[in-house]
Amino acid sequence: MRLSLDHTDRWLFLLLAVTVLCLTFSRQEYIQHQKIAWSSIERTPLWLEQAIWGPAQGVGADIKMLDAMVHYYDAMHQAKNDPEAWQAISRLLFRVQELDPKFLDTYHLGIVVLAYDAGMPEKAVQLALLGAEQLPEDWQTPFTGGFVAYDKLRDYKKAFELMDMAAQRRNAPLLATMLAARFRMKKDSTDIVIAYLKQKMLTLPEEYRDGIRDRIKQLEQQKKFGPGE
Amino acid sequence: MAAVLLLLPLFAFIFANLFMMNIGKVFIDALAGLNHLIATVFILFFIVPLLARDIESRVCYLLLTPPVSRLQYILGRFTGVVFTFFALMLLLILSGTLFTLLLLQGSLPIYHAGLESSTVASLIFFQLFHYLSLIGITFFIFSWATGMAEIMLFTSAVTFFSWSFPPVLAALKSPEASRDMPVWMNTLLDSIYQILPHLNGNQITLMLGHGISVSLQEIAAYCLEHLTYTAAGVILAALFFRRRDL
Repeated sequence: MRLSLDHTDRWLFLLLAVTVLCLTFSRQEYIQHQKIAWSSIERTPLWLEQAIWGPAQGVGADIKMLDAMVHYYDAMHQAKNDPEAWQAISRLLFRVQELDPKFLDTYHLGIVVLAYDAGMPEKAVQLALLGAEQLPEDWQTPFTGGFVAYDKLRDYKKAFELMDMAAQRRNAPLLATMLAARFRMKKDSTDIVIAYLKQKMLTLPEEYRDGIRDRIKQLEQQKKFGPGE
Repeated sequence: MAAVLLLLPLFAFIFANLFMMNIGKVFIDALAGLNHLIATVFILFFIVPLLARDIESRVCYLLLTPPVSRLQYILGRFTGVVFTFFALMLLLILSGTLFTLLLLQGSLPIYHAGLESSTVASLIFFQLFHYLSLIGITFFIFSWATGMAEIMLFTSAVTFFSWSFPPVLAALKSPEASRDMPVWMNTLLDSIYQILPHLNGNQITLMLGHGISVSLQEIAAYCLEHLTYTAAGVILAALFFRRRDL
């Protein structure tokens, strides 16, 4: 095989380089100007997806998650106010959840995106409830879900339920118990909240108990002198 | 193929690092998916042409000389193919475990929760039984098929069936889905469910990826079911091949 380049070879290489450049530019133009058909994203029935991915449904969930991230980027840059775009991302996230119900990334990314970017706090809380059920070791999913239920939905019952669930889990911070008590204050009396905190104090680690004792003292003072004191 | 198997965990490793939290789980998913692909390629593009060539080019005539019976020929071919497959899977276990150790040491425990150095070996062990039964069924198809086209068509159909049907069946068996189904359909699905392994490849991969241990009883049942398919496939292949006109 001859390795040296003659005149014709050089021209052919130049032509090849130009062709590749043309292809790259046309592709870039296409990507920048293409309109994403949001309504057609993730319309495949679940059984068909399960049949397609077969024993590799985990990979299916991973690829759908990447797809959700890419579409999230597109939506933030091109279609921030398009409800169709956020609906599509929501469909993708719920499909990931169906394909792999224990995939942590779905909940950790999905709940926040649905609640704060997509404007779908109901869906975010729904996803948090599914995640809390599927991942009994994870405190962050019910914690975020509880916070969204409180902050966006003003659903104090659900907010308390989720936050209390988070507080009961291993490695949950004291903040979860404190927030659960605060959410409970919104719907129940101070006595009930004090009883709740006293009961929590029995089960929580020693290092958390001082914080709870202080909060109980505050609540008892509030009860005596009113919330202004 | 051996070189591809050594590099496979690298692709899985790169893919896993695109994710935020469950990196260990994605690594196992990707490795399982790629191994399914490799094992399918091994069956369709190595075993099927090898067996088809024996019939079409009459290579088996050379082998079936008096000291070698047809039964010995089938068993010999099967053993050779299975040992080649075992050797390839062993390579994947070695390279996969190496990348698992790299992942375990190079990232915080939160990113690889549930992943252990033995996870890859367990995963390949389960996949090995799945493909062992498919190899057995391929031999059964070979025993009566007339040539490459038939072996390829039926083996592809069985591979596709084993790929797609178990997860759909598992989904159809859920209480929500079976509630709205007619009784005859439920009975039919129950009957099919009885003859297929109850623990499918998807459930195994997800369980291992999330660090959920598979019970000893489930492992025993799974291995026994696949060994039964393998044995049935090879016995039927021997029965058909001994009676076939060559």
